[in-house]
Order: sequence, then structure tokens, then C-alpha cells
Amino acid sequence: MASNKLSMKNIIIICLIIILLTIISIPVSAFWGSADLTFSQVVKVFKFKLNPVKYPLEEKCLLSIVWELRLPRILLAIAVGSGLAMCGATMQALTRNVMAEPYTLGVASGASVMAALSIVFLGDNVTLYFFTPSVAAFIGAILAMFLVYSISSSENGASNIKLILTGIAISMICSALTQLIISLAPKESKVRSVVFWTMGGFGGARWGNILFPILVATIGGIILYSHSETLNLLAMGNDTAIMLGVSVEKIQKRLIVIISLITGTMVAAAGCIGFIGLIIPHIVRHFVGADHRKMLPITMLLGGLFMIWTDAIARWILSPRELAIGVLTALMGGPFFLTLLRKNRG
Amino acid sequence: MKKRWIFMIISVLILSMLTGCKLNSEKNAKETQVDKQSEQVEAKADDGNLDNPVEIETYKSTFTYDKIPQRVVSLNYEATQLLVALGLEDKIVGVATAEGEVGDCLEEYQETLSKLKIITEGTPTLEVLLKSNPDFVFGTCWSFMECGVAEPKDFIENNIKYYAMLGTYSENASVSDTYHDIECLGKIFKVEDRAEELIEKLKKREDNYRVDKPEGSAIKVFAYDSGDKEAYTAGRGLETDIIEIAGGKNIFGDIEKSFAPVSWEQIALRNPDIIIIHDYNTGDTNGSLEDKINELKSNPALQEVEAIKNDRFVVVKLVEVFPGLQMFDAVDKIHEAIIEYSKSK
Repeated sequence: MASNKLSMKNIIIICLIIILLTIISIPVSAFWGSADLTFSQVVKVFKFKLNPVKYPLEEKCLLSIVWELRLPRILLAIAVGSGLAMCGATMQALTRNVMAEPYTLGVASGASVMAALSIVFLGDNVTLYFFTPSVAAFIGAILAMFLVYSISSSENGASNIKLILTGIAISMICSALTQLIISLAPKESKVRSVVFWTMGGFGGARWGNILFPILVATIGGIILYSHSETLNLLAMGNDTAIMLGVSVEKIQKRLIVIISLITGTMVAAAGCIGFIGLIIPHIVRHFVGADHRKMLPITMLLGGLFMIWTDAIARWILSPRELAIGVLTALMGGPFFLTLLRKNRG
Repeated sequence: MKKRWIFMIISVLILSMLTGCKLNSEKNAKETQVDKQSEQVEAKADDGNLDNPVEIETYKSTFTYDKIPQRVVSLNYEATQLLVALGLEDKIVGVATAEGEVGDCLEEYQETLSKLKIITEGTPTLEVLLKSNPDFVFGTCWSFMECGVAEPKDFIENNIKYYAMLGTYSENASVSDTYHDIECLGKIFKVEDRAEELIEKLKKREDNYRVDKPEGSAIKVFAYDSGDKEAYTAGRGLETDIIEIAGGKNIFGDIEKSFAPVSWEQIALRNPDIIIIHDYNTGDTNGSLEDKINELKSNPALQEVEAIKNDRFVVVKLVEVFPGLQMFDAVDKIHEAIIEYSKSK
């Protein structure tokens, strides 16, 4: 069923369609959330924003909810979904393993340990106030990836299997460290904060803090896309790639740096959200084929669109409570994973 | 090459749209700030309660109250009960149930409490809270963290003042933290006399226990909340103070955390004379009362513990060991058990 004959023209059309759907989704998904707002209430906010004079808004709380809370979240979801999907796709090419994604290479657990450290031990420290959980998570993500890469490195670049195994080992160590930090926490409020942080979510998104992740996702996307052909070659195997003139070690290092930076930013912004890097690239590959020049842009765009709606569901399904988005993606990813395995066998 | 260019152009377009959005929103934010300021000036002109603006310090913020809050949301029943006890139920526009229910509260307030609008079971999200349009929120310190409702800055940005019960974040929580809360609420809502009355009533109860203290060294008490692999108990905090007032000593009062797990071995070692059991009522139960007692009795490590050998259990409702009006009900029960025990010695 894989239509490998899709021309670039088709791909561009698909991309434009997804972009259009995303743009429409931004205001439409704003109708859903934990607060029970009616359709007309949300429309009032949009009208007010377009023309404050003609459409005055009396209930200012609507503005706070729809414009200050939901909209930044939606935009951050696009960035994070896109960023995680593209990193997943790239990692899968790097390791030639469809199960590779930021979380299997230890990045998420590395971020969690540092975030936990920051919350538990530095939370009340006034002089180190800049070492927020987000900054810590960013550093942790990058450190974890570097650690994984350098441990599994050899002269011809890191062996693909070694990368995954090292990633799993680092993940386990970091998870254990996070648990240790939690049990050493002097106050239960810190324990709650750490657990809350690891669950991930877009609830903290505000207009002031979403620009950076959006920038990183966009620029990262452009850079990764420019490596499409290299990724194609790497996916054929390290030895093949070397024979075809690719300096595998150099490229691996460069890509790992880029992926760490992107993933680090995403985890810093939204905590641990798994499976996006797994589900989206796989779906896209199924329909479009493994040529990264074609599948990468669609993966990035689809990741964003998918995340908008996943977050909308997470915000609404348990209303007036909110479901942690990591739970939702895991609930979707798990069965997806199993179907993957069954297909491969049969 | 061409595709790269297309891609780049699209990205740049999207990026500039978003940056434009951000700049626009900052401009809007400044405009709405100006609007809000002029609103405040107008309000000052109308409102007569301006004589003594009051500054109240709370968890991570200090607020100046130049007018009495009119739209109050309280985030748990202990808090709500305090407000009702001060006669402020008309100002309450919504309550959240946290882990309790009306049935946990004092009978005299139950009818009023049941008439209040519940905005959510448990803890509200920021969205849900904003929908009630409050100008004042009262809760535990955990409500004002990201893992609760939202961080302090979100409240401040939305012009919502808040107050967190001191007993939930003070270093050595004690019953006087609740007196402080009542005093502050009195100042904020200009009901100082009612507040003073309430505090006096509570202080009188406290003094009674100090008079009626049992002879000899303090009796060892262990508070059992829940748990089977290990026991969850109260460390340094309000419950320790409650036990002390009742005439006992919390065997785990040296633990820094106010709620911590301890091993069965430690309990056996410290050998309490009396065991308090937290009854969660029907709210959030971690095992019914009978289950908890059976758990303790059947545990082989605890066979030689004084309290278990002699069946000395005291049951307190969970709400009674949290800051609020019911603290002395817990003291009552523990005190009674302690007097009985010292008589039997």
C-alpha cells in the first residue's frame, strides 16, 4: 500500500493541506478546555480581538481563558509536536531502528533527573533562581544524549544497536536517580512538583514563554530537512554510507547535537511527552515512504497538527479536570506499538 | 534546491506571523493594563471602604487590600468552613471540594456549606477558576503552585488576590497558625470582631488542655495514616503540635517532613503507648477504619508494641489534623485517650 511513487508536487500539496488544517485548528481547538465555555463565548473573544471597539467584551475572564491560556498552549503544542516528531524521525534514521525516539535514547529521563534536582534542592535557593526546572531539563537532555553517544561510540561512528542499548541503560539509571531525589525531598510539596513535572503538559504555556520553543522547532526543522539526503544514506547502514562518501561519525555527532538541542527545548517547555516521535514518523513512512526529503516535512507538520488535537482532548475529556497529556500519548502509543509488532510478524 | 527555498519561505512566514502575534499581545497587555488602572481609579471613587488599606503577607506574595473582596473562591472545606464561621458565606462564589466533603465539617455549618456552588470536585484548573471570575482565593499553599491550581504570578496577572493557610507552609506548624489565618481574614474582610471572638473561643479550648495535663513524662503517640509496606505518619507539623497540646509526644516528631513514610521496625523500636488512626471518612479513603486497625494488629513486627497489645487506638477524622476549626476536636479525642491511659498506669 506504500505509495512510493508520490512526486514532490504531491508532497507539497499534502504539506499545504496540513498547514491549512493546522491554521484552522488553532482557533477551532480553542473551543475545548477544562472550563465549560459555550461556542458563542469563545467566538466573542475572537471578535473582541479582531475589533475591540465594535465588539466589546464584558466578561474579561473569557479573554484570560481563551486568549491568555488556550491559545499559547495550542501554539506551543504545534511546536512541541513538530519538534518531537522530527527528532523521532531523525533518530530512527540514525539508528535504523523504528523504535528509536527521544525517549528511548535516554533524553527524557536525563531531563527529568535535572528537573527533579532543580525542583527539590534548588527550588528555594534565591541566588540560583535562574536554574529553573526548564533550564535544568534542557541541560539534562543534552547531557544524556552526549553521554549515550560517547559511550556507544567507536571509530566508525556509534553502532546503531549500541546507541539504543546505551540509551535504555541511561534511561534506567536516570529514572532511578529521579526516584532517589524524590525520596530525599525535604517537603512533600516538592515531591508533588516533581511528579507533576514529569507528567508533562502544556498548561504552563503563556505568550511570554512560547517564542523560544517555536523558534527552535522551526529552525531545527529547516536544518534537519537540509540533511534529508544524508539521512537517506545513513538509513542504508553505516558501512554503505561510508562507502558512498558520508563521514558517518561527523554527521552522527552533528545530528545528535541538533536533536539534543531540539528535544531539550521541547522537554524544557512541556515536560516528558512520549510516543509522538514514534507514532507520527511511522504513520508518515507508511503512506509516503522512507525518503526523508518527502517524509520529514510531512512528519513535522503532522506532528504539530496531531499535538493540537491531542492537547485539546487532554484539556477537555475529564473536564473540569485535565488529563496529563503524557498519559494520552502513551495510551495511544502503546496499542500502536503492539499493532506495529504484530504487522512485522505477520 | 527549489523545495528548500519554498520550505524556508513558508517557515519564515509562519515565524513572522507568530512574532507579530507576540508583539501584538504585548501591546494589548499594555493597553489592558492601562484600562485596569483606570478601572481601579474609578472603583476607588465609588467604594467607601477605603479608610485603611491592609497589607497581608502570604505564601510568596504580599497583597494590599484597599477594598473588601466580593467574589471569593475557596479551595477546600476547611478553608470554606473558616469563611462561613466568620459570616462571609455571601461573598463566596464557588468552592472546590479538594479531598473532602460537607459531611466532614462541623454540624453547625453543614447546612450553609451545602448551599455553596461547587465549581469542581478536587482541585480546579486555572481555566475553571478563572471562569468563576474571583477576586480572592483561599486555600492551602499547595493550591498556589504549578502542581496545584497555578503559580502566584498567574493569580497576580489576573488581578486575583490569594491567601494560603499558614499552617500548610510554616516551618513549625502549630495551632496558632490558624489563629493567624483567622486574624488575617478578619483584617481583609473587615470582620475583626467576629475574628477575635472565634480566636478567643479556640484559645479557651487550648488553655483547658494545658490546665488538665497528665502527670509524668509525655505519653508516646504514633499517628497512623495509611500504608502496608510502610506506614505513613505525621512528622514535624500541625499534628505534632496537636498531640503535644493533648499531653502526648509524637514519636516521629523529629522527622522534617510533615507527612512521611516510616518503617514498621522504627515504630516497634519507638514503642508508642497510643496510636492515632486517620479516618478519611467517605472522601478519599486509603482503606477503611477496620482495615487499618486490622493492618496494625496483624503486623508481626508490632506485636510487642504497647498500644497494640492493649488496644489503645484513637480515631480522628483527617480534616481534624489539618489547619482549621476542627483541630481541637482531634485534641479532645487524643486528650481523652491520654487521660484514660495515665489513669490506668
